[in-house]
Amino acid sequence: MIQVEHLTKRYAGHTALNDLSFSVEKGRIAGFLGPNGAGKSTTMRILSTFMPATSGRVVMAGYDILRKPLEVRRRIGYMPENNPLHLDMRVAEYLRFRGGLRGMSGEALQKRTEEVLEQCDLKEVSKKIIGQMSKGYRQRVGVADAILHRPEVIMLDEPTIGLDPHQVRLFRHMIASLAQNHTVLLSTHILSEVEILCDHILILQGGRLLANDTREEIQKRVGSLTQCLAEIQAPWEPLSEALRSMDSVADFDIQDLGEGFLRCKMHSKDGNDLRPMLFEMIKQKGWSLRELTQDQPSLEDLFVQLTHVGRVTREEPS
Amino acid sequence: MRVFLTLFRREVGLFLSTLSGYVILSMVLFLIGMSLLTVILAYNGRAMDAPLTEAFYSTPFFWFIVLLACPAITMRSFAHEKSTGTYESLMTTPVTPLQVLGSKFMSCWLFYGLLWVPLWLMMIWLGRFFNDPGYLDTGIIAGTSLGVMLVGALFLSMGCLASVLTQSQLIAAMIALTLEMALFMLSFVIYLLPDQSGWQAALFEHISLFNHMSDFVRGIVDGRHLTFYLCATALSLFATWRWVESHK
Repeated sequence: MIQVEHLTKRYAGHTALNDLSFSVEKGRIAGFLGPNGAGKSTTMRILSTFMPATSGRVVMAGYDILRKPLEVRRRIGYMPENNPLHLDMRVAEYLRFRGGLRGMSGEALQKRTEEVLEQCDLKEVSKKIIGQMSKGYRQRVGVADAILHRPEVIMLDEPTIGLDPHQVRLFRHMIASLAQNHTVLLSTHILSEVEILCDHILILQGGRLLANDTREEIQKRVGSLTQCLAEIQAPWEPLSEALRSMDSVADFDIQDLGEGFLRCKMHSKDGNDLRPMLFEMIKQKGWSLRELTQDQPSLEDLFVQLTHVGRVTREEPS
Repeated sequence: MRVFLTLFRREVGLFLSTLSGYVILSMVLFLIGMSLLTVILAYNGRAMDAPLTEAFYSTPFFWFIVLLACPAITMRSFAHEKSTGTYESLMTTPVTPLQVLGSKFMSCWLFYGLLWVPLWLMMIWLGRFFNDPGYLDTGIIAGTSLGVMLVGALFLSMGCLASVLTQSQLIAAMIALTLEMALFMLSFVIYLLPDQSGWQAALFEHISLFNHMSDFVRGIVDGRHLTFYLCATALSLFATWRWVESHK
């Protein structure tokens, strides 16, 4: 549904996007994750045909964005960053105006407006002036506008920014329900949002794509960061030997705590829990154990690791 | 066409539903009232040797209205949408730059035309006190209307160009006023030339707004004047269109 090949965007003296390539399949919710200034909004703007790229090719819903921008626009629903709306208009009036811009008219537009108002829980405020509504309602109007013409792709740039936790929860529920009929591309710098909502995760840093995987693959990568910690009363060399012989241990680090106790930090090769195997090994050796824990890494850990590596890699040439 | 009409209705609605539209209307109404007062005071009880529209044009308020109202009308057209971000959501719907520019320009022009309605009502009222219908016949009304609308079209197209260049309405108004004033001031050059028969005189006479308007208000429609306004307006709109197209 979305195909991006070698997308690059350069401004004078600054590269905003550097050779971005990814694709998103139909019916997926893809999440752009990255810190502020990573290039998320620039990518969204290019994909929505608002801004031309310096080089690269983008195909949205089967149409090249450069060659057939109007065809692409007919098939996308885009909510830009900060959700700009005509604040002087009433909700239903605004949606009818936006429908008119997409070639909808008459009864079909009226009917679809009613449906969308219902779907986005805006029926009660349909006659209210947008400028007098709360942020949460305005965001819903933005989404209602994006789905009004039944687009194949919905693009939401930072959709939950500025919402209170209750509104964020409601909003996530709304976005999740959209995936039944649409392909959704959303950008955010909130990790939990991506973790909960998206089944395709793209991590962006400094205009480069650091990760481009399905949620399952990302979860595996997160799992590989699982760290097991044990404090064992054992001699250094035999313990080191024993850990080396365990197939599931990717790497380990031993630190002397005194009083005969050693602290071992281990990473699993495949994200499996090392604790049962470790406990079995210590029992066989007849050593003493006073602590055995395993931390639960999150997407945040992977994000920090990737973005840190990205930063180091980029700084190397200079 | 449907998309154009949707945009056009929205743009016209903006003038009629916001305070700024009524502020411009009030300002123009005040200036028209002042000009009317001047005309009445100047010609009360005296014989007139020119049409009523020419008497009105000879007051300084005519150019005040045109020079001040046009930047005020056009300043928000693109700049406001850019500053609020609605330009981005507009340009990601299936609309063409030509439809956007056309709707904005036409709505500004329509509103500009509406601003002059009070003048015509006052003229018709004033015409009742003249014995000779030649002071305000159909030809004079049509010629003056055409002149007013053509000068307006040119200044509004310059205003649209100014508005598309910036996100600030104030800067857009300043640029538009500067462009209009530059063209307006060029109209004086003809009076400063020592040689009134050279090609320079012919050139400045051709672009003199005073020269054009003094013909229009007498009901004279000169093809050269028409060509000038149509070409200059088209050029300005073309530059605006290219800017919208290339800075999507």
